[in-house]
Order: sequence, then C-alpha cells, then structure tokens
Amino acid sequence: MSTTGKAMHLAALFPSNQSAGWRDPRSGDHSDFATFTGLARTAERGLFDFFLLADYPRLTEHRGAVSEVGTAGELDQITVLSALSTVTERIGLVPTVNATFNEPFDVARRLASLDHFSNGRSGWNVVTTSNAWTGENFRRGGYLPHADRYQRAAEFVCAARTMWRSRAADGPGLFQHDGPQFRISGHFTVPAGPQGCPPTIQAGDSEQGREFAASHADVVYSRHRGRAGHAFAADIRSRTARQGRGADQVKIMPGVSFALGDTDEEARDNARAAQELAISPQLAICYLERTWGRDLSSHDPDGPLPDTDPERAPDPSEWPGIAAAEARSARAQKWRSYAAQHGLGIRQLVMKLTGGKPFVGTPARVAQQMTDYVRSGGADGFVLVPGYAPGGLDEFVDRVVPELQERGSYRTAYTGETLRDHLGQSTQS
Amino acid sequence: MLLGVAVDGVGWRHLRRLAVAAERAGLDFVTLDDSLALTAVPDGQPDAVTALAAVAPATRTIGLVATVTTTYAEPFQVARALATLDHLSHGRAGWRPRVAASPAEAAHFGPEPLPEAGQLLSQAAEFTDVVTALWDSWQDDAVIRDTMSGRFLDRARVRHIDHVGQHFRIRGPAVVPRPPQGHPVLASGPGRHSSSAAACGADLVFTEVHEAQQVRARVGAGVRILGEVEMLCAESAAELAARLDAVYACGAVDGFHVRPAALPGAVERLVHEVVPLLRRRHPARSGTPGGSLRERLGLPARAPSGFPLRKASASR
Repeated sequence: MSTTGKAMHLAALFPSNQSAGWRDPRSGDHSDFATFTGLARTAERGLFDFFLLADYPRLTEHRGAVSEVGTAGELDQITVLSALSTVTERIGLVPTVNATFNEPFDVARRLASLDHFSNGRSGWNVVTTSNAWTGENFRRGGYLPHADRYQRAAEFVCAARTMWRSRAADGPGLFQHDGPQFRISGHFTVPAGPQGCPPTIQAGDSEQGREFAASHADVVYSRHRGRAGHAFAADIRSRTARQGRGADQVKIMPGVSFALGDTDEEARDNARAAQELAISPQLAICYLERTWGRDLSSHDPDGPLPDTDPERAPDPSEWPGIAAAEARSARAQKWRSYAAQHGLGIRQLVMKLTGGKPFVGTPARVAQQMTDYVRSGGADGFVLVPGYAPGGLDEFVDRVVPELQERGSYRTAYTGETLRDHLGQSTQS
Repeated sequence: MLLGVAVDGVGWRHLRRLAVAAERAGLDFVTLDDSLALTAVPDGQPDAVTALAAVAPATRTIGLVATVTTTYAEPFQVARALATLDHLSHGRAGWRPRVAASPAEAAHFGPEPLPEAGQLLSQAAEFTDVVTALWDSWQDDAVIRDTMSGRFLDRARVRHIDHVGQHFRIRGPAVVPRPPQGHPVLASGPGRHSSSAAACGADLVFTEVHEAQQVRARVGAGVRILGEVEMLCAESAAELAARLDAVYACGAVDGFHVRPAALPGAVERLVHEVVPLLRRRHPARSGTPGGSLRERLGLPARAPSGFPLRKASASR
C-alpha cells in the first residue's frame, strides 16, 4: 500500500453503439482500425490499466426492423485487440466474452493467443445474455434461465482457468472439467500466456452477478455512483471477504463519462452539447417507444410525453424483450410525473434518464472529485466512457491526468508489464 | 507466379517479424493452420485468426490466410472475426475452412463423439454458406451517417438472413459491416482435413502438383490453383527454385503454397533464399499498398454481393 493515499486505476471503454454520438463530427468510423488505434494509444499515454471493448451480438432492432438511429457495426473484440497488441506496448486489452453462447475451449485458446501476442496484457469481461432474441444468431439458440446463466458463466470461467493452468509452467496440458454445463477433457493446445490466467472483469449487478464477481472477478465494472456507489462497493467487499479473498483482490471501477471546460460553466455547456449529440430527436422517440410499445413518431421530441397508456400486449415479434405491461405502465407513470414536475419534453427527459452522473468541471475540479471518491472508498478507480472515438480521451489525458498525478492519486509511469501488474495483483498460476 | 508460405511453427515471438520478411521478399500471402488438438507444432497452435490479426498492422500488402476449424465454431462468430481481419488489414484476409478430424478435438467440446465424415463435410459446407450470407447481410453502402434525418444506417440495405438448414438456424444480420473484399478469399485443400466441400466456391485451391490438371478441369476459370509443395530438408535454395520453376513452366498451376521443412530457420531460408530466386524470374503481380488479396490473386477486387439475389429469390 502506498503511503501517499490510494492510487486510482483508470481504464477506457470504446464508445458503445447505443447512442447517436456518431453525429459528432469528431466521431470516427467504428469499423476503421485507426479509430481503435487512436483511442487505445491515447489511453496508453494516459497510463490506463486497460482498454475495454463491449459486445452486442445482435443489431439493435426496433418495431420489427433494424434500428437506424444508433451507431451500428462492431468488429470482433479479440481480433481487434490482437491487432492493437502490435501497435501498443503496455495497456491491457480486454474483450467482452459472452459465456452463454461460446465454448470454453475456443475462448480459452483465443485468449491465451491474445495473452501471448500482447506479452501478458489480456483480460476478459465475462457477460451473460438473457434473451432468446440474441440466441437466434447462435447454434444453441434460445437462452438460459437467470440462475443457469450464472452457473454456466461460473463453470465457463473455471473450465478456462483449468485449461490455462494445465499448460502453465510447461505442464502437460491435460485437463478435465465435469459439471452440469460442460463435460470436457483433453490436452489444452496453447502454452499458458505470461499471465497464466488473464484477469476477469465482471459487470453483473444482480444477486448472482455480485456473488459471481466476489468469487471470480478481478475487476467489477459497476454502474453505481454517488452514495449508491459507496453501498455497492461495501457490499462487494464484504462478499469478497466472505469468499475468503482479500478486499484488494477485486477492483471496483464504475463506468463514468466526463465533460471538461476552462470554467465549470463551459464544462456544463460541453456536457449538455455531448448529451444532445448522443440523444438525437429520433433516438429519444425510439427510447420512449420501447416503453410504450407503439409507434410514437408523430410526437414532437421537444413536446410533452404521450398522455396515453403503454400498449398492454404489443406484438412480441416486433418488440423482442419488451418488459411486462405492468412494469411499463409504472415506468410511464413515473416519467410523466417527473417530466411534468421539471417541465421536461421527451428528449430532455431521455437525456436525464440516460445521462448518468458524469464528472463535469474544470480539469482540476474533476481530478479532485475523482480523487475524493476513491479516497472515501466509493471505488478503486473508473472506466472512462468517452463520447466519441478516436479523440474522445485526448483532453482527459492531457489535462486531467496531470492533475491527478499532482494530487498523488495516480501513477506517473507504468510500473509493470502485464495487465495483472497494472491492477496491482500477483500473478495467478 | 503466385507464392504463399505456411508459417506454422515459427514461434509466437517470430511470427510478426517473419511475416514482414515474407512481405518484403514478395510473397503473396502467408497461411496459418489450425487444429483443436495437440499437433507437432512445438510452441502450440495459436488461434489462426487471432494470430494473423497481430500480424496485420505490421504488414501492408501480404495476404493473411487463416485456417478455421468449423466443426464446433459458431458461423456468426467466425463471420465476424474474418470480417474484422479483413477490415483491419484493408482487404487482405482469407480463410481455409477445415473440419475436426479426431476424437481428441471432439472431447474438448463435450462428450458427444466426432460426427461421421459425411456429416462433418455437409455441416462445413452449410457453415461456409451461412458465413457468406452473413457477410452479404449488409450492403456495401449500408452506413449512411445522415445527420439530417438522424439515420446512421439505411435499414433497407441490411437484412436478416433467416438461414434454416440441416445444421444451422441463424437469423442475422451480421453485426459488422460487409468486409472490404466482400468475401475474404476462400481457400481449400489439400487433403481431407480441409473440407473438400469448400472447393465449390473456393477462390484458391491448394492441391498436390500431380493432381493440378484434374482440379483445373473441375473448377471454374476464376479459381487460382496452387501446387502444395514441401520444402525438403536436404534441398538447397537453388534446387527448390529450379523444381518449382520446372513445374510452373508446365502451366498446370498458378503458383505454389510452400510448406517449409520442419526445421528451425526453414521459413527464413525460404523467405531469404528461395523466394528471391523465384521473384527474379517471376515478379509479384502487385505490391501496391491498399490493394486487396483478391486483386493480388488476379480476382475481382470485391466479391459480388448475394444481397440482391437473395432478395429476388425471396420475392418470387
């Protein structure tokens, strides 16, 4: 433990395809490798622990058709990161891996390959999928009940680690895993990478998700900020301790966006501008339609919310994965009263709902807020979510990182080679 | 003379360096094999697409052809990974589908035994069809980024494939835009481990030299046929070059896919000694940066899309 106070960890998430942020003229092509190279190199210049790619294995669909409003088109994570390993030197490279639709042998082999080519910089963000709709793109089809999803994910992680360990230290590679989800055995074909087992990142928030994180994860990517974030962190730490793991073995890193400016006022303007780009009028209407279960395109995006109730039984083929009528009615009710109370139109409401709690202010203010949050135990660091790529981290790295370093709350150089080194964890074998 | 080299077994640390050397020497492509079970490769067999992705940013013109074992893979995932390799190499990706060949490979995926040969091949053929349909599920110009209307995509240019076959039921569309080559180059052969079914529709066929004539008679004119050549341990660079030259002069093959001897330094020898001799007499077609593997092989730069065809047949 450092005596200058707790050093925070930073990571970057490649901007997701769930927004209309592509309308920002600075936003690059998401299928152009240069877009990834630019953002990853900036994150590496900022001494970040890792660069994370999300995964959406099905295009967003809306009202029975492919959605047109959000960024779409997403390269394969492990393949892109392997290429990035050639043009970066230190930063960790973390793909999102779906444990519901993949096979442990295949994933373990691909990740071990990535760990070799990156000299020990790979990790994996393990996710599960709950909808049959995504399953339609995969052999097994369908989906798994919630409890089975996490059982499969836990077994998936165990099986992969069994394979990696079987080849660690020049082992013979003989492995066997017998469980309800997988019965596999044989010789693992790839020698263990420099890290043995690449670090595991996990983002689930349910009871099972939290238990999974406490027993298996090295990093928890959380959604919680503010007081809720403190409560979340305390909960994960106590679960981790119950599993017999040290509290330091799981790093809690909420995903956050940010907006900077020379003055706090300018930063607030920039935050608003970014929100307006992310939430186009069309996207705001689509957002509401997912709750109302009907066409709302005749509504003015700047006008009031629909005063009708959501459709009770929308056609499930047009609205895959839509919530139950009661839940949608309750939500619509809540939104209507919130919007009325604060005088918000449709688009303004959606911006409020999707905005999260970004860090907004001058570089000095943002650095101080981040430092305070970590020192008070709310998190071990942050996964920054830039609004666009490749340039979306430039200002943060150039202006906020030096402020963090000045406060003694962030590293001034990489001190290790592998992702596990960056996370401050001993190598597992 | 088209020239490709198998870079299996060169070792993790040397792969990028050797691919760069191969590119400089004027080789048209490198191949990386695949197996889901232990092989003679001393260093272990990396996932070929992942490995060649690491090579892509270090190179500019050389083709990258990955063997993919289809038997236990997801067509959706393989289509996405190969499209990605094609995007990040600016159109230099190729693949060679292969079926699993041993009970050891099957055991890595579950207790069910390896399917019999007929099943394996029919599944592989359907796998290739699904992958191709997924690539064609986006038209080349599907991304419109129209800020005025707030539309990133034109949904009329992206469609579900709704594949329902004997082995797969896949809805689509792909989540990645159509690859720069349309379809990354499809290679096939030699031998039974590469699914012979893929020979229908292959752009590139590797075959034993003595069978090249027969293969030529079976496939269309747009297919490139390369003789599969082993570099013998005792052979000198000049001897190998002379042997290839003599075969090439007969006109049955368009070039060679050379497998270096299983000896340390064999790939280096091939790249630094044999290829320069051959290239002196048979210069590479083009090494223009930005050129696709298809162009390098003398094929149309971009494979035509099945998108309108499928639309027509669906509406009939």
